[in-house]
Amino acid sequence: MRHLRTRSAVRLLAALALIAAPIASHAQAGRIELPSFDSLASKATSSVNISLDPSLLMLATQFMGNDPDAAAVKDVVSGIEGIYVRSFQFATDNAYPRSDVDRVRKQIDISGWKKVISIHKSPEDEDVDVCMLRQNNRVEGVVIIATNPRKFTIVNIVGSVDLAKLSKLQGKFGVPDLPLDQKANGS
Amino acid sequence: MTDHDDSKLEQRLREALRPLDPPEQFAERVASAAERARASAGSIPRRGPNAPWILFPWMSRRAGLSAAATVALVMALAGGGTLWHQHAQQIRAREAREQILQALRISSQTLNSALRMTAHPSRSG
Repeated sequence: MRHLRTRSAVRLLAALALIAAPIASHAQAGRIELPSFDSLASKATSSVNISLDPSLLMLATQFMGNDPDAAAVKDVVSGIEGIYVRSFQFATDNAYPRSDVDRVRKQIDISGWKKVISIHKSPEDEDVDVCMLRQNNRVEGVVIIATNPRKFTIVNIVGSVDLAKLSKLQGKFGVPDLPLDQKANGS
Repeated sequence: MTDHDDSKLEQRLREALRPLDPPEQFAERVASAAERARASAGSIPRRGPNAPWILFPWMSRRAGLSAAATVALVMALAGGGTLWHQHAQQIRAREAREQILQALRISSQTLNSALRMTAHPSRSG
């Protein structure tokens, strides 16, 4: 009798694991592995390391308020399951190893990810890549990688995000609304 | 009434009121009954004249006060814990809100930089 109960429990756990595995893999589809770049933080003049999982996103949006700016943010965040940002600025050129960023870039070279924007500027040594992962006509993730000799920024948005709406967020919440023809600073 | 009648009555009264010896072991039975009464009196809780033990008549005054103090302490701790949890949750939410705004700011800026570079490739350098 006891043996039967143990067997049933094992079967139940196995069934739960089978159900949970695809859900977990689906949730992680648009996520890439981002190192924390801790070793660079001491060299950088400014650094940003943000990791927001679904629970934190939900918690934050609950305290967002009801003004139009907050509504715009809530609209963008509504389909997002996670935001991960690494941004480091340095006082001198080539203060960080490009290979660290290239390692992240290699993850989006694999199948599924599509480069929406890919720009390389030789004299300035500036690179910008905007990549998107689509599955079943649904955006599962976005990766933005921007590098120049003094700065690199990597953004990984997991889940469905509307890039047009994200772009329009500039100018809200104290973000300077730069004119379109202003010189890009590589950020 | 004659003297003879009087003496008869007197005799009958004397017979009725004559002292009787107690039954056997009467003293022992009285002593043991007294002992039982004393013992049970010790186990009965003493109640104060104004004690509100209507709901818990079986409870002694001291036990009642201890229980009330314990309940008050538990309620105070639970209330304090809830307030602390709410406060900590609010702090976490505020931090998360700041982080989300910063993350969206950086994402938006970086995306717009890329869009600017594609829109004006010659002027963006």
